[in-house]
Amino acid sequence: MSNLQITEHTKRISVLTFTDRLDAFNAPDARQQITDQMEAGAVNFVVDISQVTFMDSAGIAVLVNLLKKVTQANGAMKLVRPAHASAMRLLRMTKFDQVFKMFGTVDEAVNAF
Amino acid sequence: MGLQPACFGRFWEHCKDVNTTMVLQQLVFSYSEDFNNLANWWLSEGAGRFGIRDAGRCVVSWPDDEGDTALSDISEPIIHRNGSQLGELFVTQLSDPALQEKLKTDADFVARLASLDGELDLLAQELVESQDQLVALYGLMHSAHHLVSIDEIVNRLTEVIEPLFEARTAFMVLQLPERPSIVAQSGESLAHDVLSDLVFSTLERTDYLLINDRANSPAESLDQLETVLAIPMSIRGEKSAVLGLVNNTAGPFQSPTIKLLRAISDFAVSRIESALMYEAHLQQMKQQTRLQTEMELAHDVQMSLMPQTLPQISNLEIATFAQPALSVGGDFYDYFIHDNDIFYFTLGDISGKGMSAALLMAMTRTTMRNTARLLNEPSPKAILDHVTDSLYDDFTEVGMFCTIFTGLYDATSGKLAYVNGGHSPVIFRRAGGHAHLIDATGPPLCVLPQHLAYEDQLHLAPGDLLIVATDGFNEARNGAGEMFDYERLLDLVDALADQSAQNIADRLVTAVAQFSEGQPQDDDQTIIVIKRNEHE
Repeated sequence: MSNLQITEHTKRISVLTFTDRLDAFNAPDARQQITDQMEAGAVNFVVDISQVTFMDSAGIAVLVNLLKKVTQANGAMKLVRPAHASAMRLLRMTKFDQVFKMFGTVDEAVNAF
Repeated sequence: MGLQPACFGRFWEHCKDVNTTMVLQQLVFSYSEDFNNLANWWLSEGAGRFGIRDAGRCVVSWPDDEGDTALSDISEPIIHRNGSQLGELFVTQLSDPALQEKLKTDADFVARLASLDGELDLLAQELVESQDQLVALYGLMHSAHHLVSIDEIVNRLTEVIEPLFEARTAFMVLQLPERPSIVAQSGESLAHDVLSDLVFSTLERTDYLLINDRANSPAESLDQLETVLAIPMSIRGEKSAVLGLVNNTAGPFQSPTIKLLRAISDFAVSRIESALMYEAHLQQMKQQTRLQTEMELAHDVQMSLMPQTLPQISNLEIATFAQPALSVGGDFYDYFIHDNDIFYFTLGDISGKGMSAALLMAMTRTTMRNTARLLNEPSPKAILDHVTDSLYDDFTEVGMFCTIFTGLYDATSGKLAYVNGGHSPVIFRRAGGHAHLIDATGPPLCVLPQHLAYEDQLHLAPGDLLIVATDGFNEARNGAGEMFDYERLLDLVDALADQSAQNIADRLVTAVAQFSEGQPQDDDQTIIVIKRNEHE
């Protein structure tokens, strides 16, 4: 008789990738996708905005909204930081870089869970 | 030609009423060639006369002279298929029994002609009738056009339909969900239970309920009715109305009547459906008007939450402007003078727009104001920490946050202590220098349960300019989708720096409005311009 027990744990992490822009135009759609994911049980998110070239306050509101929702659901959210200067500038200027945990790549972000 | 007994019946009654002799004369006139052929045959066989008699009197004869009809040698009645007689054929001066048979054949032939003529007559009569009905139908549609209420439509249509038909009663019953039933009857009125059985039985049908024979009646209470024609009507896809005729005075209900009644029921359905749509539209308009009034009121309330008069600080010039994108918005500013020369001011932008943002705006503004007044030693940092404690849960519940700039200016020292919670644009320009953006000292309010911002200081020297605006300025777009952006804003501030605070505010608002001319204002626009007097 072996006294060894093996259990496997897998953590479900949803990776949301935005490209091009995250602004007032596509914020409603992004919000809806997040809602759908969370209704399907997702609480851990990696949001990849590395390829986002433009972001505005409505886009940031989408990210804050997600952060608040996952925190309430005992989940977490990590951000893959924008490669484009203007998008990064907005995050820095509004000090959201202090709010979001940011990583260079999706893998790094996923491994941080 | 296949004739229905019903048609015969009607025709025959019609003939009796009119006068058999006239019918025979008309028949001979209509088919003169056939009659001539018959007569010629008989005359060539040696007959003295050939003709038609009715009740002993000669109606017509060949040759056409005044002979004694009593002299006829053989005669044969013209017997209709239903057994009634329409005069008789007679031939004089011939009595061969073989010819009697030939005369009988001729009489049958004439009877058939009469039937044919009868049907034609009936068709013609129906045509005239349907033309009359069409005219009446047109009148009905025309008169129904100004009817807008469903009650009116049901009652008026029933009233107008009744004289179009030969039924003793016309009725329409409409049972829409969540509304009282509408029952309209015209002519002899039916008992309630009869009507309700009629409606019930009709709504079970896909096409129509037709009772031309009491034996087929689907309910006991309907036995007392002679004839019924009722059509179920679907309003918005639900069978919810019945249009019917009861006790036809002209015998059984026939196909033309069914078709006409169906056309009218289709018309009634379309009228009722448009009336429902109109009602809904009216309701919506009423609601919209009410909502608009409420929004206007909310706009006034919101505007009144922001200070109406400019503060008098010994060495500052101040100008403000606020314009929500919708009736109400999430931008706000507030200020008051605290302890003589301490000037408290704040400008915030709640994420999102419209009513939800406006509610949070009112709450934030008031919490900020109360906190600033009540703290023993107010500082921007202390105020925002308290406000975060108070409002974090409420903001989080709805997934929103607020970028905010809060400052306390000491007019004596010229020192401005401030916290910039994720807000932009905040523009500072030293007298003679270049306008630049001031970075946030922390993230916006209520993003995190603790406000991570630190407090910073600026010294306002004479001629220095501080502008706190909301992103409705830098994010305003033109027709090409291009943003006004920070650079244009900074350049403009440099160009306007020598002007008064009020002029600077006005020019900035105008410039952005011109830039985005023709585009709807996407976001709320709010601005505070603070300038330290150059000459003190």
